[in-house]
Amino acid sequence: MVDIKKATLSSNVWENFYDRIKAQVTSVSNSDCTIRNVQTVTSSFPDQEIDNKDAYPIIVIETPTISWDGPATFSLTKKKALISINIEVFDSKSESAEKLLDSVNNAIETYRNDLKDLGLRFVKLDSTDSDEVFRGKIKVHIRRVTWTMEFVFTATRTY
Amino acid sequence: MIITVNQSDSRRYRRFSIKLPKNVEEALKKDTTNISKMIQKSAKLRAPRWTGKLAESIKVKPSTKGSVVEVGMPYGMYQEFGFRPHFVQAFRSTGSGFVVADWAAAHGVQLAKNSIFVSKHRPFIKPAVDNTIPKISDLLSKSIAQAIKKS
Repeated sequence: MVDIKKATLSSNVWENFYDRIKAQVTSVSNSDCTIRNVQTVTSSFPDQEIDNKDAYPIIVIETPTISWDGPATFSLTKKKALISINIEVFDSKSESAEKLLDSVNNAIETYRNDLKDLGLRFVKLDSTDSDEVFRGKIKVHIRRVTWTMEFVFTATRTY
Repeated sequence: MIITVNQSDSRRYRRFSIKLPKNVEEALKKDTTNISKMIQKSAKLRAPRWTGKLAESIKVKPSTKGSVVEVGMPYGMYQEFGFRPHFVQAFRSTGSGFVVADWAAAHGVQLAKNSIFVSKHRPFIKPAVDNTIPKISDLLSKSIAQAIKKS
C-alpha cells in the first residue's frame, strides 16, 4: 500500500492498483483444465508483443484520469478530485479473459476498505466493455473495466 | 393542483439556464477527445504490423471542431482503402526504412522474378470506428447527465 498524497495523486493511485492486481491476479484456470498465467501487468500495451501468442494474457492498468469537482460537501476549504482508472485484459482465449477481468474486479472490490483508509472514497465499478481483434493467426479478446472513485484534499487558498 | 413558484425558484432556474449550455458544451468537447482516443486505441490494435511504425503513427490531434485521428504513414491509406493487385519489385522501399525484400524475408514470402505479388489489404480505421460508434450514445448520455447535475 502506498500513501496517497495530493502532490502525487495520479502516481500513488496507479501504484496502489498495480500492487493489488499484481499480487492478486496471477492466474486463472479454464474449463479445459488449462491454467493461464498472467504474463505482464503494465501501464501501456506492449506493442512489440501484439502478435506473440505466448505473451498473453496481458493486463494493462492505464494512468488514472483526474478532474476536480466543486468543494466537498460541508466544507469550504476542501476540494474533491474525481478519479477514473481503466483496466484492460488482453488474452488469446475468451474464457480466461473473462475470468481475469472478474479476478481484477474482485481484487479491487475486496480492497475497498483499504482504499478508503488511504483516502479513496466511493470506489465503484463504472462500466465494462469488450472487444475482439483478429491478428493474423490469433484472435485477441479484450475486456475493459472502468473504476471510479473520489479523493478529498485541502486545496491551496487563493484569497 | 397548485404550483407555487417563488422568487428563489426563479433565481435558481435563471442560474441553471445560464450554466447548462456552458457545462454541456464543455462535456461534449471532452467527449469528442475521448471518442477520438477510443478510435485511436482500437485502430492501433487493428493496424497491420511489421515494424510497428504504422500503428505508432496513429495520433489524436486537436482541431477547431474537436479532435482528429490522423494516420501519419502514407502507406496507411492503401491498407485502409485497398489497391489494385500488382507486383512490387524487391528493391522498393516499404516506407518504413526497409525494402520489400526485407519484408518478404521476414514473412517467408518467396520472391518471383525479384518481385512479390500483393493483393490483400487490411482496413484498421473503419473497423475501429464501427467498434466505437455503439459506445458513443452511452458516453454522451453519461456526460450530459453529469453536466445537468453540475448545473
